[in-house]
Amino acid sequence: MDAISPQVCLEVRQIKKTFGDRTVLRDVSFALAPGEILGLIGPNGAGKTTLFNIISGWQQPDSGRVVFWGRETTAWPPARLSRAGLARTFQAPQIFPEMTARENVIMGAWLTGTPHPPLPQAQEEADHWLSLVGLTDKRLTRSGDLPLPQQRLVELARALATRPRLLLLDEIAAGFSLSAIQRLAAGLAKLRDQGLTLLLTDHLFNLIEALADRLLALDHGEIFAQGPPASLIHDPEVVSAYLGTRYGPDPNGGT
Amino acid sequence: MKISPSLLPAAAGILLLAVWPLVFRDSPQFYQVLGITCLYGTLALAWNIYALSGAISLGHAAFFGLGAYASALLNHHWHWSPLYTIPLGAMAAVAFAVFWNGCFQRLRGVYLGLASLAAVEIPKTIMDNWDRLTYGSMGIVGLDRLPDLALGGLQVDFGLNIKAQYYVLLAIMLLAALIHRQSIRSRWGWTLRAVRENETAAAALGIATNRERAKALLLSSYLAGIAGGLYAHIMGLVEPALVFNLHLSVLPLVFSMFGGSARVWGPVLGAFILYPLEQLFLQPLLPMGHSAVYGLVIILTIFYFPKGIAAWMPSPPRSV
Repeated sequence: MDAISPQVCLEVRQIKKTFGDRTVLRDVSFALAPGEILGLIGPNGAGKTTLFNIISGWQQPDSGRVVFWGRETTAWPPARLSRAGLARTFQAPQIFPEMTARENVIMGAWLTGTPHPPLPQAQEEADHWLSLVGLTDKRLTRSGDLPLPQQRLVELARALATRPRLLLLDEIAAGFSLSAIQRLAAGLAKLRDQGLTLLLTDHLFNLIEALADRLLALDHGEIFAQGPPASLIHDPEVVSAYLGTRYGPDPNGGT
Repeated sequence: MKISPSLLPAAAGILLLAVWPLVFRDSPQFYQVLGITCLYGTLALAWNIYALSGAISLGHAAFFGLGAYASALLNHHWHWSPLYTIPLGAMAAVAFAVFWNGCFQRLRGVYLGLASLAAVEIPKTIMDNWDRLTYGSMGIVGLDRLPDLALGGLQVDFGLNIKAQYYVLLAIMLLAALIHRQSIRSRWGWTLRAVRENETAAAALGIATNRERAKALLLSSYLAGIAGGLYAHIMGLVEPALVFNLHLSVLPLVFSMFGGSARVWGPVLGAFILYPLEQLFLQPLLPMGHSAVYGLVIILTIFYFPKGIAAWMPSPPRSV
């Protein structure tokens, strides 16, 4: 079990995480194949974001390991993981607010990669990613002035501009209209066909249903079900988790 | 280097600074003030390079004072020329920056400000009490002035010829301005801007934020140390109370914020408006109340132009 398989993009092994006396993740394990789109579902407070933070280096697990492309990365800081090809977005979008949308995305292309690409190439790539997420007409707007859903798109385009091998999207579609979600799903599906591996959360199912190959259902820090989206979304246990009745009343008042 | 419209006001300003001593009032006091303006402009540029990484320092007097003392000690005890002691002495400021970085790396915002304010006391106390080396609070006097320059038949005395001194200080400030410009416009400059605007996002792009901020600090401390060394040899003396003065930590902050901290010429503009205004106009006109008027001018400007008066300049900040 200790042999590290290079055919796996990401492997999460028996991750445990507690905050004080509250267990947020207990023995979470899963693997992600290259080119796969894996959706992580679960009610608010299930531990999705904590799991994302551990995979991307922003938090340390109490025990367990994260293996990214055959290398153990559990203790790596976020910047090092990013340079190794892991990009992510945040639930609260993290943009450079004084820069325009386009400048944000240029930073993704220009300041990353070895060697760094020349500026004209970075600009060209930025325009490409901006058009892919549908922000071409907003590219010269100061990004801090954009509404939150569009800030998420800026962040997504900037993450794509780093040419990641694995992209983590945390609630990227929150606040999107249905048509915007469809557009985004189509864009991301195209990238998957070009070899991008995706791990995404979505506590409403809209984006995940349209996109994911496989779902993991997380509740109270445990993966309690997995399978293809069509079957899992109607699984009675998943439904009861969303209704908050799978565990009975939560003594902690929710996580 | 491409000639861009944004260079025109800068070029006009440099030309004005270069020729106006030839045209206008011929009083030594006037050049003295302009020379010191250039010196403080250099200090403000140095301070601002660190600020470009998002750090607000209230302790740059430490770098200034260490640059001054190290240069003074080398000159006094070993009789080396200021030509060598100034660039070498500035390394003492860099050494202190390494210590600073180790201690304050995790501090941000007002906490960094407070810690840096207190940090000035360390080198100051050492210079104040190491009597055998530094003569304590009496300081060191009789330092060599800036050296003469003999070029063929031309002999220029930068130590006593105040006009010549002004040109030296102007040249050094322009050199600092060039370094400052690169710290904004280059790819590294944009890296600093990313760190300044959002450290989380910068780290998510793979930027080692602490390392980039440390680079900015080391560069900043070296230039501040150069300014301190120049000061020691212009005045011919150093004293702990003089070169580690709180005033020297606050001035660059005021000049940079007043001129525009995110703009290439902001710190220079701030220095060239505020210092001569205070020294040449307010003090002679209002010997009693000049400080109050000076303060009022700064408050009103910051109030109406929070991004500094460089926001008045015709060209917008460079985009990529």
